[in-house]
Amino acid sequence: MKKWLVVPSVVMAMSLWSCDPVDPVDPHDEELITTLNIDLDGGMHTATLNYVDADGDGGNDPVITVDTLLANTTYQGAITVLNESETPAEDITPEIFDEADQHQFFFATTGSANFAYLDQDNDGYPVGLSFELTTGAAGTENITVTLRHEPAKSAAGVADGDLTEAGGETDIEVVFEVIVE
Amino acid sequence: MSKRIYIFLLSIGWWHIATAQSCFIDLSGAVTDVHDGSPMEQVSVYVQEVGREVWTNPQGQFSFDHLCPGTYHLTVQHIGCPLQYLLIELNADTSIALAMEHHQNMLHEVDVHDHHEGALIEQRISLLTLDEQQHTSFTDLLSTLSGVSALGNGADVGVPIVQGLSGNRLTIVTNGVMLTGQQWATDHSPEIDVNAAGEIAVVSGAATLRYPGTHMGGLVVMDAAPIPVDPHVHGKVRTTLVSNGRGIATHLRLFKGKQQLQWQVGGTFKRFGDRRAPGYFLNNTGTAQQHVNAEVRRQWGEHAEGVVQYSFYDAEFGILRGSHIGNLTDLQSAFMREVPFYTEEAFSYGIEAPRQHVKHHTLKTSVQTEWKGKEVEWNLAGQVDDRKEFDVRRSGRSDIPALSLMQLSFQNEVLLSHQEHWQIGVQMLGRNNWNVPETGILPLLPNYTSFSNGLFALGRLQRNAIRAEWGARYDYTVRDIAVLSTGVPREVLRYQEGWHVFSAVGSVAYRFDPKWEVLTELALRERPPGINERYAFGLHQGVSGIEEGNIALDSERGLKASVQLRGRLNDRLHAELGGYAHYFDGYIYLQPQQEFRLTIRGAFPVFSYEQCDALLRGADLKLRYALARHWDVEATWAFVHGENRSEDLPLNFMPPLNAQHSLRYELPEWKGWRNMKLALDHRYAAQQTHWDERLDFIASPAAYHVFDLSVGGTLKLWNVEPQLRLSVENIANTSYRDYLNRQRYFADALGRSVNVSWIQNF
Repeated sequence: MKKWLVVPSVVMAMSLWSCDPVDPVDPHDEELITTLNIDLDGGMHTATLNYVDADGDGGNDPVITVDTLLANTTYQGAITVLNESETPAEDITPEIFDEADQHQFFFATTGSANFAYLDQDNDGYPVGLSFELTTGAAGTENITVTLRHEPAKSAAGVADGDLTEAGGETDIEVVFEVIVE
Repeated sequence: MSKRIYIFLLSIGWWHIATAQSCFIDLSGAVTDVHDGSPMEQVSVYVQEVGREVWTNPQGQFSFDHLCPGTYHLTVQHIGCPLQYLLIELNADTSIALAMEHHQNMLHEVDVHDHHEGALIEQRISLLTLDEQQHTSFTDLLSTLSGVSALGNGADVGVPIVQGLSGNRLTIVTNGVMLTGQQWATDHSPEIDVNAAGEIAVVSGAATLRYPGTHMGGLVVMDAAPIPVDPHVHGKVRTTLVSNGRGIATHLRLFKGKQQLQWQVGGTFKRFGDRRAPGYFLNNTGTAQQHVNAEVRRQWGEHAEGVVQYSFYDAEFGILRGSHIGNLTDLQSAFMREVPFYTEEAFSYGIEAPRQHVKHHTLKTSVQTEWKGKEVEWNLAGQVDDRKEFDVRRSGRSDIPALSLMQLSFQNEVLLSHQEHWQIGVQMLGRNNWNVPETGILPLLPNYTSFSNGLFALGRLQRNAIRAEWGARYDYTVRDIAVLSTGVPREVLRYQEGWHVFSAVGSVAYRFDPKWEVLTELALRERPPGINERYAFGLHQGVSGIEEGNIALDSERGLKASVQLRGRLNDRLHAELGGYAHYFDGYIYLQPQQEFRLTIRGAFPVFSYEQCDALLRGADLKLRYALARHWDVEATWAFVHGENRSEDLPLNFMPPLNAQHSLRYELPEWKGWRNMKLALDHRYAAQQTHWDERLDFIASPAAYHVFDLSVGGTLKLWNVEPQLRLSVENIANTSYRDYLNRQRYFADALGRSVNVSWIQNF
């Protein structure tokens, strides 16, 4: 056999050895939203709607906590968005506030509650971090809170909280089953 | 099974008749069709140095007189054949015999030439088609072959699907190197520039076992153009301007071929902006692609050769802005719209998130020599694949990739072969794949290393009208995997797995008539589950659900039986009729789970990889008929039906019935033009009615018909002779959506495009 065949033989022998994979690194997902907290202040009565999925999309199921609301009452709502997979928890609300023109919360219900925006971005379009919730008659209703990233804020109906023409990506879509007494 | 012998001028012989006289030398010759030896009429033979051209007569003969002694460049051209060059030294009256590869478009001539080491069922894309389609993607180009479709997302992003097989089940080989990268997803285009190719083929048969990989059916093989022997530097420039996307694709190739040393270099530049569907722009669907390649070949004596090849591919693809969605509600509302969200009136070349940026390096060295009457070949190749994908993110993070994967791989093999009779080989394949920790997002895939050691043997027998081929292959693959846990705190979980993989193929070709041949093939193949199939975890945009790997998966086994009849009638009708049945034991597929997983973005369906018994059945048909002198018509039909036999359900994302028809008129000479070609093409895809609605939330789109028109030829202008071509794609500006393109959920496919191309050989 020709001498040069020694070279491939050596290279082949070397390639029989395996090596260990690189250790994956915890990415500390800075964009992860684990928690949506809504504080409702009705003057004489306060309530909280809370959704927590501490480990993100996989793993354990989310925990949803909902307080009972009073009928025919107007609540001032304030939204807080957190990443609680980190210690200490990271407050993402300021990030949304800083990019208010690229974000908007939308509220919808199967019952008789009414929603009104109380805040605006620099272009005069609503954001929804601060809003007003007015309950109607007693009963049970599902309230859906949606956060859209880069919606078309100027599209028809979007400023009134209608999602139809909004587009964008959904960052949050949470349903709270609320009892109104 | 010897090394590739794919040249157009198959045999050149010349002999001296008389002694030299100054400037009284005659050069004469005859041109024949390489397939049947019949004389070829109307072939143009041009002597560059004296600027004289003659055409062959009905006997295929030509002659020049009164040439001086010296070296001459001959250009030989004929319709349906690529332009060819020949260098000839004249000292005396000389006669040459030329055999031309005619009708490249007609695949599987009965007189099959074993371009790809004995592959039986083979389809090729010729240099002529490459010239015409240099602006398209590798996948789109390949989908012009019968039985091949494109599975993708948008204009340039997609993977080929060959007889129902794609992704992990399809292997692509470029210049003898198995393309490695992230082949597991349908939006990961092969990292190949079509301009670097001299020929692209889809092959099956025993010879496919010579290549490692997880292919369950045929292989896609791309080879660089051979370097003609000529001691001067020559080259080729091709440029295409495309109105849809206001794109340009330009390619330069330079080569020089001395007796013992040849080299070639090539470079491609491609820029496209927003493409347009009928009525609106598809915002953010641009492409920015560069490619360079280089090759050096050196021979020592008759039998020893060394080759070094390098290529670098760099591509950035924009993904339709309106196709970026966060959850199922977004998908539904996007689908309700006529025109996608974010559609703007303004055209732009800008490529913003969502986008992909891929860089791929391939370096190959090859040494061949003769040893005891056998050929020995040693190939060593290394590849680097760097894939980054960018999503629309908050707080200026759109410039940070959401997916960033690096892969280093090597392929090392020693092959021993004896002419066309047998070949054996040993191969090693190694990969190291990791997530670059820059994304700030939990990775979809784990980090892993994978090493395979393989052995194969191929053989061939020829007895009169029967030719038989067989092949067997065994691989042992070891993989080490490091996964980040999905729960917090994040932990690194380690796995090690070993896989024995066995494959065997046998095929028989029987020529029952000089013009008709029947081919049969039986192939048993196995593949271990892909890394994504066992370990993936995350949101899968394609199915808008959470995709979970399944660590319990076992190897997938497939048994494929194919039969093909090919031949010709009266020299006017060429036909290829093929059918296949492909049984799978443990076919790996995505199975929707009962549960919906509640996340902060709403409830997502959960899909997990599972295994079933599956059956793919299909038929491919190709007919070409010469209507009259200079007129011919061609029809290509393909059909595949995929079934999950365990649950009696359809397999999703199989191509619907599709067809291509073309009517061509070719004219050797017209006014100041030569080799004029006029073509009207028709593309048709039926509606896919056989699909699983649990895996797809939106109905399959309606059937469509699209027409293309093109005219081209060589302009006889001074000595330059540019090849010019004008084509219109989607003449009627038809709005349609393609079942296999994910963009169909959001927007129509491309509208009309007017393309102008210019090819210059020098």
